[in-house]
Amino acid sequence: MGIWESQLRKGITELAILAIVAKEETYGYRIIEQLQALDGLSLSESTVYPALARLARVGLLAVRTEASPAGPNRRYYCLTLSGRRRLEELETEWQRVFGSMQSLLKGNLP
Amino acid sequence: MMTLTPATLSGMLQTLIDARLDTIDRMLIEHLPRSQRIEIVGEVESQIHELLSRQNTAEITREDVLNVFRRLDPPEAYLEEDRINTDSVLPRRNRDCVPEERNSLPSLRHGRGWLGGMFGLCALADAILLLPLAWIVAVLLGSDEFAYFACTSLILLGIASSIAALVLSVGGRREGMMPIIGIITSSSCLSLFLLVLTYFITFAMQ
Repeated sequence: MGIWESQLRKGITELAILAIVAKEETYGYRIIEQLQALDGLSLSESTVYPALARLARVGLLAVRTEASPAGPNRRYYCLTLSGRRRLEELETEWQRVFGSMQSLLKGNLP
Repeated sequence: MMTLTPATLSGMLQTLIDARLDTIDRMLIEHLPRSQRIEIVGEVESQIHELLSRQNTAEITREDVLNVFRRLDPPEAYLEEDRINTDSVLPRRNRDCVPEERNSLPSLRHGRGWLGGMFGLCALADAILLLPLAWIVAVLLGSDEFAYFACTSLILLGIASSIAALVLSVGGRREGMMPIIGIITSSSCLSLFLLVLTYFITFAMQ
């Protein structure tokens, strides 16, 4: 994966994680599995787990711990109210940037 | 899916996993507080155990653990990720800092070392070619005045070249072989020229 592609994916990490967690409460490795199933959104654990810790620290994600059938306790994440607001902001910004890039790539210069 | 607990894993395998987790923790230790590091490492540990539990084997082996490790990002990946994901502005690591040399005029620094080497070679040519040649010509002409004039001029020129070579080579010492050549030749020639000049002065005074 080239540097540009890598940087692009890292730039949308927060949006991708919030979008997944918005659907249902889930845990870290499940988030990674769902992202890796999406073409172009293959984010690995060294990207996702620090992002999850940061999003939880700033209050966008709420965390609860539950015993796991395999290994140590699992941390389950869900969106807080701030997290939902943040997701809406990012989604709006994403649509704006995406729309502009689409237009640019079709040759529609201002 | 088998239920995998720390008790299911042998002490050696748990030690192997702990070592991996400790390495990740060390990658994060400079920039993240302990609480966040614990969360991140805990997630990795949880993932390792989940991947191990999905292997339908009766007993987990060392090879199974290593296979899981191969599927994970290397611990070094957390260094780069940590820099991107932290909110604070991190001080640049030394490898990102622009080296001091780049802040100066790069072409001048490159030319300095090369010039030093060239001046050193000129001084060397002066010492081993021009000076003996001038002396031979003076002997053939039978002219003491020519000998003194030519040799003194060449010696002074050689001294000036050597000093210039030494200064330039020391200044551009980091770039390749030329400054090193300049330092060696200039210091040798400078010593030689000073010796010859001293001899000439002594001879002239007699």
